[in-house]
Amino acid sequence: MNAPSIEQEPVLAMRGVWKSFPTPRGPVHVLRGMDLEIEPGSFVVITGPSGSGKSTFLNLASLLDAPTQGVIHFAGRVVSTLTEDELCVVRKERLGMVFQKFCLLTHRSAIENVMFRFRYLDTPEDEARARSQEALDLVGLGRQADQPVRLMSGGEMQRVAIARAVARRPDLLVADEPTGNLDRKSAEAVMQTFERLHREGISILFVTHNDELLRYATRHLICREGRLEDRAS
Amino acid sequence: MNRRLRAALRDIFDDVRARPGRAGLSFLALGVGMTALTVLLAVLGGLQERSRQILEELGAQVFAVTQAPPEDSPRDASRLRPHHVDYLRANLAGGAVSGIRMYDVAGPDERTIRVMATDGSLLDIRPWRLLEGRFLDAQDLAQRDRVAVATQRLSDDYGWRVGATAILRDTPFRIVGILALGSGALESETTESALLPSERTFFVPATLPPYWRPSRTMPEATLDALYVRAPAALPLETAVEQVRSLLTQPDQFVGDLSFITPEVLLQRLRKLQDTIRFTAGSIALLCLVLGGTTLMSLLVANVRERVTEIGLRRALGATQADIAGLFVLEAVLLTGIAAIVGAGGTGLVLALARDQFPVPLRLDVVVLVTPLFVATLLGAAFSFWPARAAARISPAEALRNE
Ligand SMILES: Nc1ncnc2c1ncn2[C@@H]1O[C@H](COP(=O)(O)OP(=O)(O)OP(=O)(O)O)[C@@H](O)[C@H]1O
Ligand SMILES: [Mg+2]
Repeated sequence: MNAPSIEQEPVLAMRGVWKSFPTPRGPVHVLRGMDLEIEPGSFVVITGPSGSGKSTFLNLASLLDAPTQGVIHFAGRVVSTLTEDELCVVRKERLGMVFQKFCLLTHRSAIENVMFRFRYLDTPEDEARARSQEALDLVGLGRQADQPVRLMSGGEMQRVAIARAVARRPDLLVADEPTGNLDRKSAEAVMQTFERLHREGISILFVTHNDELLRYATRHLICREGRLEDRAS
Repeated sequence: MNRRLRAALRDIFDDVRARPGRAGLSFLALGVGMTALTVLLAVLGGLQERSRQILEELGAQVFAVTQAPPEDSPRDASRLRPHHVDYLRANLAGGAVSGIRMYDVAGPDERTIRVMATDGSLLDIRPWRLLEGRFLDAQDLAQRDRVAVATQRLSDDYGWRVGATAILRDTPFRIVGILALGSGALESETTESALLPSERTFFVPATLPPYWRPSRTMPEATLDALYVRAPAALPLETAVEQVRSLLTQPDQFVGDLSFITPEVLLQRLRKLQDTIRFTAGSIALLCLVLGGTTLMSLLVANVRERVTEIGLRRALGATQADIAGLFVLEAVLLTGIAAIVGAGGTGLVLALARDQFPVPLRLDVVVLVTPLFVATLLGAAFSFWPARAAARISPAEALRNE
């Protein structure tokens, strides 16, 4: 491993990253030479027009997709050259993800959904259950652990999804419009949960269309023409 | 490992619960297919076993020569007679020949006993087993002793042990041997009475006068059938042809003969086998193909419906192999359970209804395990493409917002 420095290295870094998609009318260059560093412990909020490439960027950041060109460092390690199976290991061990559409297993209870975080890990069942319960406590749903998620409100479901993402403490928590499907009140509860995780020291990368949420950010990036630009908040 | 397996089973259980109709339909089709397959295997195996038994009970290289009853052939001169036995013995080196004549006689309790007048060489030809004592011998025939060999059934029914005296139609016979007959396989495949001394048969020397006849006249010197064991080196068909040509020589005057070889007996069985193989076979094949394709469409639809879930799994660290394995395991489990239920249930029903079944059945490990094997193969084969498709779904696209 690299020597730990007090001036901590970025949890995520991109150098000259391009992402293009082939289409019948030639390749579309969605990300065009992106350079970026995310410091540990930061709460980064990304905004930008629809179709500007925010989700594309998040997919690269969460190692769900590989760049067409350029280098990505994750937690001090070059990941853009890893094989598919090696990426799976990094994903399950170090990343937390929250999606706009919750992605819960509707037939299972809240705690079973959170425990699904450990489905592809070798964590012993008892430990997985204990950590999942802690995560549910953290998002304020500790008392509803055994409730089937299909009987929960949208805000509660998203908080279950967040608990799942952090049941194993991630190096980076990535969220693509997690409040996009929620009303104001539920969105507020979800944001407070993120705020709490941020205070716990988790680094957060967060995409939204809602400018109101910028007040939670420690850093605001705007996605434009395939690049991310810093905007003083 | 154990925990992983449990998690996988849980995943499959959830999926089946989420789409019970679809899973039920392919389960049903597969179950019916497995049932048909089990019946097919059990019946074909049973018929094969019966063919083997028939060959065994008739004896290797053995055939019978019978003649239509005299009503149909009025020319009395053309009947089979005892001297034909000697004639064939003299001309068929290395073989064995025995003649029989049969009478149905009322026993002590008025039930019919079949009396079979024959000689000692019968036991060299038909592979019956002596349980006790001896069979008829040359001395018995020469001295016209009133001795008899009884079947086990007769011995049990009337307490006729070796040394005991059996009274038949007021005439005493000394029992010298007890004989075990076959399993009845021959009996079920032919109505040729010459081939099947019934379970209640009483063997007596061919030279005895027919005491059991009300008139007690001397027997007409004719035979009901001849048994021939061909010489070991001679193909059976050649031996049959030899005997046929010997008996139809102008100086022998024998007409209306039928030659009953194992081939003749097995013909009906073979026809049955072919019919069953064709009907049950096509039903089994149809059901299995139907089951396989419904299974495949179930899986294809599942993959399509579960794209987001697949994306989630990939996000949580599932590899492509994990995803493919999920669908293959689900398919194999479904077909496997269908096989266990279908084959096991069918096996149980067949075992219970065995006696009512018109054909013999083979029910053993092979018949029950083969469907399971076929099912596993089927599950793996039909889930291959859907599983591959699922594994190839890009996680980024699977998780895109619609
Ligand atoms: N797999 C793909 N193939 C082709 N084009 C794609 C693909 N994925 C994304 N794109 C294109 O890339 C561009 C950026 O898409 P992306 O989803 O990153 O935008 P976004 O900023 O997240 O938009 P929104 O705010 O609406 O979610 C879009 O024009 C989209 O059509
Ligand atoms: Mg997007």
